[in-house]
Amino acid sequence: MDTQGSSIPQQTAEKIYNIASIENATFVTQSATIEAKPFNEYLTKELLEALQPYSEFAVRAVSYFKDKPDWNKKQSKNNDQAKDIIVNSYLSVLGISKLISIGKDTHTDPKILITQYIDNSVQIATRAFQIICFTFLSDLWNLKKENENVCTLSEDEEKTIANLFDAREEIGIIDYLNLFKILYTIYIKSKLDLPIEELIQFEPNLATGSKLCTACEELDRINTVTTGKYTPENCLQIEKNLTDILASLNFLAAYKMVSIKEIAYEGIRNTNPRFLHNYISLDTENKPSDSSNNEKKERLNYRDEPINTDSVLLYKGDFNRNDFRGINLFPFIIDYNALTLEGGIMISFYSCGDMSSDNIIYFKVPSKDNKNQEIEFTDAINTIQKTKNIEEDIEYRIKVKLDGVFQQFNQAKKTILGIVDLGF
Amino acid sequence: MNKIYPFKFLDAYGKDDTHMFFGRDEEINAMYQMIFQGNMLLVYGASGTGKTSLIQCGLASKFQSHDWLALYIRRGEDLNLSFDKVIADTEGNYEEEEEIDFSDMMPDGADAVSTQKQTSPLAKSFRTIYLNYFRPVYLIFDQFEELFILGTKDEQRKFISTIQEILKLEQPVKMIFSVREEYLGHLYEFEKAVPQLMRKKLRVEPMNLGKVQEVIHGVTTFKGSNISIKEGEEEAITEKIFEKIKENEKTHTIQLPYLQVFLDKLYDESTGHDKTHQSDAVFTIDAINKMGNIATILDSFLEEQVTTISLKFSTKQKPLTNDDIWDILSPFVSIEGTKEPISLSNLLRKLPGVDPGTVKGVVDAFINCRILRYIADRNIYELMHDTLAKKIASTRSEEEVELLAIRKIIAQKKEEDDLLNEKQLSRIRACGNKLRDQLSEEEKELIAKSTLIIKRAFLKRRRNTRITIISLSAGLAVVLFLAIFSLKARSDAKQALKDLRITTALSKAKHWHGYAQSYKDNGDYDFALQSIDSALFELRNVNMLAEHPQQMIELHLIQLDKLIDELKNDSMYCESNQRKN
Repeated sequence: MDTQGSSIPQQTAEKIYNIASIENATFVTQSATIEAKPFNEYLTKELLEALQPYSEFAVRAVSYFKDKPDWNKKQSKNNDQAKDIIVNSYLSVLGISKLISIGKDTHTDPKILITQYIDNSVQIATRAFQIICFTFLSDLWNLKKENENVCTLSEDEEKTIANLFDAREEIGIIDYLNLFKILYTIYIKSKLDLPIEELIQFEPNLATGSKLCTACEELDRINTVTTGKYTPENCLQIEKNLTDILASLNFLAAYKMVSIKEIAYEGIRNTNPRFLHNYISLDTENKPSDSSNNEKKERLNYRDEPINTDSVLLYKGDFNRNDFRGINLFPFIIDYNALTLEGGIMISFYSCGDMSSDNIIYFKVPSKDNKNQEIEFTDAINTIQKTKNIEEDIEYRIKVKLDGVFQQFNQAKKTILGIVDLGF
Repeated sequence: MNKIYPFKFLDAYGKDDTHMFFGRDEEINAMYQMIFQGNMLLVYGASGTGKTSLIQCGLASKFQSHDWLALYIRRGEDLNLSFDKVIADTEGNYEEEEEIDFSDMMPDGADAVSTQKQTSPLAKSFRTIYLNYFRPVYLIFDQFEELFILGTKDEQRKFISTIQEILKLEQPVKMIFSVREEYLGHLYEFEKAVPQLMRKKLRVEPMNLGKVQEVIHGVTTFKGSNISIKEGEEEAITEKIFEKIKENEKTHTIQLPYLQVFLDKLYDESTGHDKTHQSDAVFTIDAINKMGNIATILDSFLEEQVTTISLKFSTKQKPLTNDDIWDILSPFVSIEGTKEPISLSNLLRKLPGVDPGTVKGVVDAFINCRILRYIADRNIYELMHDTLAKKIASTRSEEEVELLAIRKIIAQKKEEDDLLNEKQLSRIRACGNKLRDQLSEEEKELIAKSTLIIKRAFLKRRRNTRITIISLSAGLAVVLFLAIFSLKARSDAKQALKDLRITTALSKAKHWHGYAQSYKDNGDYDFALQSIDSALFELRNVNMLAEHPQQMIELHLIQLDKLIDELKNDSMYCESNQRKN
């Protein structure tokens, strides 16, 4: 190992036995020299700066640290607070906290940590693109429902979009990036209002060779290396790639998500009806130290008009005060617990269809083995004739809701791609 | 490759044992789903169903290390103190740098100051833990029934208050309570204060034959296991084992610790007592047939250890019998027959007649043979399992049970700041020195105080009784006196009245005599005679009333006689009388 300032030796993984105890190692990569320990030193500093347009706390933190060189390399509570700002700024469903947690783990075998770090980084990047793509698709679906001629899709565009709906294996980050590009192009070409306003003039970021695209390609390349043979160098590079991706997509910090658990109708005689929404906010108000903020808890809220049931909304504004603009990402992103009438949340992202059955789609659930949650279409409405008691009623209701996921998914596909309904 | 011995005897499985933990997949998956459906999960079941293993091995295995920060909390001496210690240990210490709260900074950062947020200490602690780890915290309250068996009301109240506060925190904190199902009723007050407690609950059922098959298949086939089964005998072996360890003919389930003990014993027999657990063992139906049933095995195991240890520590000067060893084990078991963690100092206090060195030696010996374990961070000892507790409890004499019951009463009264009543003191006296030697100074004070209060109350009652008697007597005397006085007075009054009537009659007689004299002198002879009659009438009354009337009326009669004679001798009276005739 060498210290900074002297000649840089070539180092490989076999020479490093305990990455966590390296103080000043220098790694030479194909694309750049990164002078940092793996696990979040680089990410923390860069993302804090990138978040400034969207986070007042990031501004304050950057200002505070400006006279403290290498603050990101020192273990301290202020450093952790900076990390907390990053975690709370981005959507919680991305799971950035897991990367920070991995970085703080001093008990697990470093090789395992590297694998976990890389896997989670890939997943975070994929989810970020999924959220963007699903937002576009949901918006396009709404537009096309109102006017099927709002835009015309070329063959390539149709093929790329169909690739998502017809996938029998989860598509990778490059596919999502391409989908993003295609959807963006459709909107620009058709002069449609972008569903994410921050994407105005985003085109250069989507050009080949841009920081975003290069980072995606590099991340994808490393991801294809056999699991278990990752090197610390890979880990550092992944961290940089992810940082570049999240920095380019820093506008996600302007958004929050909420899951609508249930909507009740209240209409006492001689009063105007209203709708009681039971929901869980997935994101805080970006106040890391404010423990009086109960944004993440289950809440109730009256509205004059109902939001769609089982919605998972991406929005800007204040949901509690009914002052927000958002888009429903259902059925691309679902809260499985809401659909099965359970408390809490289990946000699941659409993954793929089933190899052997057209009636099954899979959603990725958060678990150690990255298991898929299967939703099978049972056509409960037509097949279940009569229920005998409340337990059967509830079971029936759950089946109808899950069928709704499947049906809506197919409806989205047909509407967006302009497929004529053949009776299903 | 090192061979892996898959049995844990009476110890629970931990996160490192996931490769050899079998038979609970359904429960693990159910628990994993439930943990995302709320902030609290209640896991309950009979003793020995494997609740602890299910949580710290099964559930833990579903999470990546960066997604799971499990903090295990056992009651120890006080659940609130144990909780505080675990939190404090997890918080750790940060060095040097002054902490900046970026949410309180001025926008330009120029006046950045470290602020004290108006948050509770608990909120601050969890915030620190969150910043330390960036993982969701899982507070796991194992053996939760200890709070109700051993804990005070104050302790319970304070704990409930803490839980209510945790539920309001912003940091992701989930709580899992593992409790023996016979203590579910004790959670009533807790549930009233925290309704979420019972919303998500999972019952861990005893193992049936199918589950036992999964376990045996799993432990004998996982990679590295040093246990295997004779080919073709797996089903028969599983059934035979099941028969041996179920408690009676009618049950269709077994207790998990019995399975562990049985398999451990089977390995022992199969390998010629290889305590290093390195030898390979092949389980056969013959070997199982030679084993006794589980009640016998567990009992004999414990008896064996007790005998061995008593022999080991017995000397000519100080012989140690099996009963002495049972007595040393007894403080590890509550009166309810559950295990009761205890520190060495408390153990020694409960065994005043036993040499402290011997007690320590015996305790260490029991740790070596896996009957006791030492929990270093709380400096306490406890039985490995409740199954052992039951057996130890069954060896107690009636006298010992009574001692324990009394001790519990004393402890309760001390906690409630209350006094013992007469009946309880009587029971205490009956226990004699044996109890006295086990009591702390505080407890002795309580008994002394209660005795004193009872005695004072008795004396007071006696004094009051005396006062009452005296008062009653005095009252009675007064009444009697008054009655007598009244009677006398009445009698006197009667006599006085009589005298008054006599006096009045005499007076009237005198007056009539005077009128008669006056009438005679005036020549009104008729009126004179009427007056003489009236006077005689009055004198007759006196004669009737007076006791000795003669003295009173004699003179009057003489005077009246004289007057009558004067009339008779009066010529005018005679003339008048003749004219009338």
